[in-house]
Amino acid sequence: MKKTILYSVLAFVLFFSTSAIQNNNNECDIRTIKNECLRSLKPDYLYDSYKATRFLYTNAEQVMEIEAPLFKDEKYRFIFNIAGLPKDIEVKFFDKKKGAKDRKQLYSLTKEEGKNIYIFEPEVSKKIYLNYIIPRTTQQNLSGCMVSVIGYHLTTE
Amino acid sequence: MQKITIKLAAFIIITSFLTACGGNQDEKIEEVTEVITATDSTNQVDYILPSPLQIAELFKSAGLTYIGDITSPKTKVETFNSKNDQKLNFGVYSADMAYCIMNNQTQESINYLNTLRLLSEKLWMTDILSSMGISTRLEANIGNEDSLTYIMADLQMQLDDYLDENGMGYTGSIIFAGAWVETMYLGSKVNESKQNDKLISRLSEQAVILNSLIKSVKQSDEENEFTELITDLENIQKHFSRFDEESSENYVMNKEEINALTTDITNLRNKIIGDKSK
Repeated sequence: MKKTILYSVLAFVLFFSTSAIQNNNNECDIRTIKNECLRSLKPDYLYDSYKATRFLYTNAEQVMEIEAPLFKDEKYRFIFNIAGLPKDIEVKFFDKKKGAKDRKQLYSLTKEEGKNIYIFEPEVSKKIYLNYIIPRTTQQNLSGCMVSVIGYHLTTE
Repeated sequence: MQKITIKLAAFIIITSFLTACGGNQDEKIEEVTEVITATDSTNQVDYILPSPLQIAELFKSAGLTYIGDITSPKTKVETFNSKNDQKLNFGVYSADMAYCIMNNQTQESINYLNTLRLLSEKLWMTDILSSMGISTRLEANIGNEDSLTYIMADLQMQLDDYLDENGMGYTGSIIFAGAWVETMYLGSKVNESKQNDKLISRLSEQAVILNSLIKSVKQSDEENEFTELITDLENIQKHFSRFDEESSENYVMNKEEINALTTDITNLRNKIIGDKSK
């Protein structure tokens, strides 16, 4: 009888420990994800900044827009790491903000098997708009993150 | 004894299950709340602001020469008592350090680093500056502008990591506001001492940054702590009234506009550093 109780308690503890580990699976290690992007800056680009975006997948599609000002005639490299996504999202760049007239899409990330790092080098000046389009899901408690590192290379003298 | 043990074990298990079930209900309530929040964030807009180093480099490539006595006095560090003043002046000193690094003023860079360290202690951000051995790296690379630039970029990244990991992302825009005002001040003062068309072009171009900066500070200002700063920045924005974000035409300020901008940016910078004498 004692053994039965002991096994019951052990099973109970194991069940809840496993649940706790599963819940943590979606947590993002932003620093590691960001550091993986840094390799793609070399040799020509210098680190400028990064943006970590954390989100919860919900039962409605979400659009998150990130505005990035750029200086004219200089080169920029945006590096993404999708390792923090449990479910794919759309990543797009536009020349104008959401809802603006004649807004043009400049880039759309196309996922390749086994690849986490993606690069986009814009050829516009002034401002660029990065959109994360997060699909709806019926899955509960599903969270993810995107990291975008920006590097610059000054060309003007 | 055995019965008591069985009853006790049964009680623990049942209580734990009930607690666990209760926990799930809490989670469900949270999920509903999260869903509402997430649906609301469909129109969420965020901002990526450039590093002060990039703007300093840009100005340097346009002819930003070094004038020794125009940077913010290091002795003032002890006078910044409010957290907001400390954040803004952390940005000011970061810009001064970048200006010194860009101009191979290594000892002055180290002096500013030490000033930043004092300020970061007040802001409880000590570990970002003490853990990297930046002073040693700066000293080892005296005269090597490229290496010094990489060290400054590393410092920026450490600061970005710290702010992100400590949920202080919004502090970044306040620090950047201080850095931006100081860099504009340095650019304006150098241009005032010797007019430089390339520098004027780069100063004019800052309109695009100011626009994003104001929106970013407004977004950070949930408790209306930065109303005065926002008003001051909007006052600066008036000098860029001819700037059209949508236009592909090159926008350059004329002499009167740049003079008026220099006056107002000097006043704002002196207000931030608490200097009424200049």
